[in-house]
Amino acid sequence: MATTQETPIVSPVGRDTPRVDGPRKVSGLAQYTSDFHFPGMLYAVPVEATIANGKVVKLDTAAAEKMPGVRAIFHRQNIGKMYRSVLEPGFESVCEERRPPFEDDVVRYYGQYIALAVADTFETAKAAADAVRATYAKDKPNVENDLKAEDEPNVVATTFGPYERLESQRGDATGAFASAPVKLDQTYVTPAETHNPLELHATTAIWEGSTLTMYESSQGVVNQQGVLAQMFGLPKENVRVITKFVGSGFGSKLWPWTQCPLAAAAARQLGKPVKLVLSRKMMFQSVGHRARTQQRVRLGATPDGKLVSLQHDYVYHRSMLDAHHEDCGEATSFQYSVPNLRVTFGRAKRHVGSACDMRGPGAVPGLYATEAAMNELAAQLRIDPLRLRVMNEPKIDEGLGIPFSSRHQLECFELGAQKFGWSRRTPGVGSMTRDGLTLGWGMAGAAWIAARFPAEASVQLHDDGSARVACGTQDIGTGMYTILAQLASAEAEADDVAVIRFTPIAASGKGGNWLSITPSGNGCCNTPTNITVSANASALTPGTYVGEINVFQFANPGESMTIPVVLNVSP
Amino acid sequence: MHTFEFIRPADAAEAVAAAAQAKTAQQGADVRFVAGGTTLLDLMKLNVETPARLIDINRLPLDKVEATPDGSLKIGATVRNSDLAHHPTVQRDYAVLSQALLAGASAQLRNMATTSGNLLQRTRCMYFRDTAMPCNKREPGTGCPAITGSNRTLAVLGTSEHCIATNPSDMCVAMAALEATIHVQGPKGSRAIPIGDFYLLPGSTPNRETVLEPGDLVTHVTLPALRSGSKQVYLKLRDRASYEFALASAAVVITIAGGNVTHARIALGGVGTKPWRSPEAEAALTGKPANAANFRKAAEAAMRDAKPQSENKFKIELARRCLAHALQLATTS
Repeated sequence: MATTQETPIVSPVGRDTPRVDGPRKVSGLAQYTSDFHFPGMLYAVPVEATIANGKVVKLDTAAAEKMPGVRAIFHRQNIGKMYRSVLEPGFESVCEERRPPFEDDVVRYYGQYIALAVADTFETAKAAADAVRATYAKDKPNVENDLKAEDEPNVVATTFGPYERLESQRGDATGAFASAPVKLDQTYVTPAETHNPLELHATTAIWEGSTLTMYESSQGVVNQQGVLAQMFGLPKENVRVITKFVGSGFGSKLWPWTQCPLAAAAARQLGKPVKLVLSRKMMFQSVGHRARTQQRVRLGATPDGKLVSLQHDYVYHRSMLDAHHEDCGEATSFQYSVPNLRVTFGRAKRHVGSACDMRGPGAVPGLYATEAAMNELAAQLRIDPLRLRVMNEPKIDEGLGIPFSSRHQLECFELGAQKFGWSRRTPGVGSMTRDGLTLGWGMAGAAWIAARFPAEASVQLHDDGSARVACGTQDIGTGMYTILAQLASAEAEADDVAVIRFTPIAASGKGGNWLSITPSGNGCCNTPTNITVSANASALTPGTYVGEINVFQFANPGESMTIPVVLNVSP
Repeated sequence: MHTFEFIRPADAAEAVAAAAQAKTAQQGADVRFVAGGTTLLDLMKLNVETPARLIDINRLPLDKVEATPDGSLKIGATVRNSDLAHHPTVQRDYAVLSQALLAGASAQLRNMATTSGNLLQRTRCMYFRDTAMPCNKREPGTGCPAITGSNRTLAVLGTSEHCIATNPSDMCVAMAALEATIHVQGPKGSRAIPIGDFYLLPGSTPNRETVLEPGDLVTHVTLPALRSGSKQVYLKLRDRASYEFALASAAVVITIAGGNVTHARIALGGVGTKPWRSPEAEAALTGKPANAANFRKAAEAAMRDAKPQSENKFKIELARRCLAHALQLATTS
């Protein structure tokens, strides 16, 4: 029985540290995106297409527009200009559904937004959205489950840039398979899966002149800033995306979806903050999913279990306009030692919303197929599936012909087998029972890339001993606030990651410095303090002005808060 | 959701009077009683139910579980599913009902859902619940896309060419096996309806699911006393282990003497257009030795008239195995 060695950890990094945002989360004080409210805020509810393929030929909005409290029913004619965004260098401005909402009258998937109701209350907006009547010219949608690769060139465009369909190749996979003493040829299918995190996708858009602020349920605020700046023709610095907490995303909140520009466009047209929260039903349709995959795996082996050929040819579905790449072959080229290998992919267009990354994108469904094939080969050879893998463990990354930076698969297998009691396994179906139940024990290996991207952060050290860490990022639930506090504490050789001190700062948008607070700034508030808020409208023309008061807790950023201030100046 | 009038009557008579002018008590009702609301409010949000008047019966004195002088058990209309499931008498004497209730929905839903609401629970057929789709049950005459569409979870017993929607209840399956009686107070007085007469097959009017008429208020359900020594089991098979509707379920109430089945009451869930009592399975068992071969024969008798659709043929064998296994569990426990 292995034991964990207890080593006292001196650095705040690696030390057992309570989440700095824990109290806020368990007490309900943590503000998730849909919790933010702004004076004068309007509510938007999209109208979803109820066909998967065809055209909107008529949109009857008359009944909806007449409802008391309805501010607008937006559609292609009145939503205003939005541009199509493009991928930028450095993997920036990623977006899985590039077509701006309402760009044309074509419906390409069930649930595509065809109109947007905006009203004073959510209930009115929902009733108005339900009252919009669409007439369609319907075509039969292609939602066929069986996937056949479409005829495409070797290099294809994807959401993430160009990819070669011949993903990896060495030796003569086809020839070696043909002459292999033992063969396995199987096709594995994984269904489309939706993320459906607990927190619904939510967005609130606020315009001040040509500056757009979005409160967003986002796993990538900087990326969204880039996409929205492009879509509204703004410099990046005019777009601010704020995510305080995320109630999980699983990949569906990595890149902005069409409700984000819709809320921003509606807010622009109406001159009011607009909030748009998806329904649970919409979460199955318009914010991505893991693509369905169909993967043919062919293994050739010697009778004693040495792999001689591996072919992994997979097909996944894509939406009509976009091309998320589900890289099922990511781990195939290096996972096992085999002299002859070929990995290819193909794609099949379907009338579905765009796919996107989901929890171990690509490699996870891919490894399901190749590892299931290894298990079937082991059964065919009557070899223990663990032994089959050990026999085929590579010494180097044979796909790239370079050493692994880290591997550890054999240690994983050894430790896992020991902890599980693998030696007690009997392979016959139904041969193992416990408490009247039939047991089945199986195993699989896995590999995952270690990817990292450049990021920027700034740290201010204050003479009161506190530090302020700033980084354009978000906490997706994995503890970003705590991690940053730990990192800063470690670097500053500080010991305490939860000093209670706060610094209030007032900021106003357009109209100059009409908002002020006293006291404010560094060192003002080391104990509970009353803050006086003043607004000076004397130099302002009639209109709406938005500012905010930021209360920073430098050593405890999860406790920091932003208090929006809206000033209405009447003529 | 449409706007509606909300009424909170002082007593059952007032509730009945407030509902008596309704055009129908079936699909499309302009007046609905609301208790737990776990089905009705969902369907109102989906615009599947659009009542102009809601009558709240939660404050009526219908929330008791009581023994009656004739030995039966009287269960009030607004008794919560969770309270009923954990009632000591139910746990002791009507275990199949307790098991069925606890197999249904989630703890939160069971805390709200009531006896009468569960009796009138609506189908989960996705075409019924989506107003963008045709549905003979929701809008008579528009057609049934489920028959040529997605029907994996739908019924194989009691279907018609107009509707194949499954009754989703677990509680009602147990009550069918327990031969419950449903007590109704209506504009013309009170009446008692055996559960076997309460539900209608879809036929050509799938919008009509029960014999209830405008103003009819379910006040309580009675369960008859059971013969001593009866064994009871509710077995539910589903796609995941909790918070999921049955693909097939079986409620078994069985008495054995000297190795022979002397009395059997059997009902199936997840496979029928109503809670499916099976006199065929009961007849196949009664008087026979309680063994695996006879359990299998009873299961085959129960599914003899089953009619599969394109995606749900598996349910027929699943239901057979479910019933045979339930009988095995009941007689070996």
